[in-house]
Amino acid sequence: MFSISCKRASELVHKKHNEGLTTTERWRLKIHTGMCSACKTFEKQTDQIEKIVKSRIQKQPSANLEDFKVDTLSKINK
Amino acid sequence: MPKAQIKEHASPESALTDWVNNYSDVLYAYAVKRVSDEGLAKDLVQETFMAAFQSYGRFEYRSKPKTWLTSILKNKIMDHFRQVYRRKETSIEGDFQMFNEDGTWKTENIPTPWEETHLLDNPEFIDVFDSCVEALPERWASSIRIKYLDSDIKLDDLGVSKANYWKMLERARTQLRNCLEVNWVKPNK
Repeated sequence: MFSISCKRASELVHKKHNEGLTTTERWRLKIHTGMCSACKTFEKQTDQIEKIVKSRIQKQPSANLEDFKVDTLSKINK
Repeated sequence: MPKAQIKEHASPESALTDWVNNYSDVLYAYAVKRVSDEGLAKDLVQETFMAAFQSYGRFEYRSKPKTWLTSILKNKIMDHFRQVYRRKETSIEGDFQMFNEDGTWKTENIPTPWEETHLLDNPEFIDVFDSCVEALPERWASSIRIKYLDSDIKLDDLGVSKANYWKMLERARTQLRNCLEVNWVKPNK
């Protein structure tokens, strides 16, 4: 009754990063990863990926826009 | 302290010259973070300036020019997201079949620990990671961008259901993890 499959555990790991888990789901996942090292690793790596994605997506891009400005102004002043 | 005076311009041309010179960088940064394609980001910013030029008469300097321009750009980016999500998913973007029928990991997919810690400090890893993000189908990459940059966007406005959006995030993560396994973890073992 308390045990979930690895497939279900991986779904819960994703759910954690999407809409979040309910208390029951959180416990189920915790119990499962307490016994299953593969899923524990999977959760850790997924958490890590999510963290890195966040920091990379929010990074400030840089570009040289001088040509762009000249081009845009020439179109406006046409 | 006196309120900063917003400069009014004699003509649309002089206003736009000022704005293009002052706001191109910030608008471009805003766009490229969301659409990932540099050429497209520039096109959207240019279209924004053209639209501002054409409707300059309606701008009454009640808001800051930057705010007004950003709102025009935002609409253009939303249009772009809508187009991306209207496209049908191809079969290649389907399930990854990580599990057996009984819900256990397929042998070749059993997660093994990554040795490296502090991955974010490793420039080689960051290169691999960024190229893995670039390789994602655009709709999945967009779903990540929306999550971290525009969580206030209403998914309904984009024609995407919540369930679908979560599925896309899940697939994006799964594909990123697979991409890192192939291009970073295995070559470094």
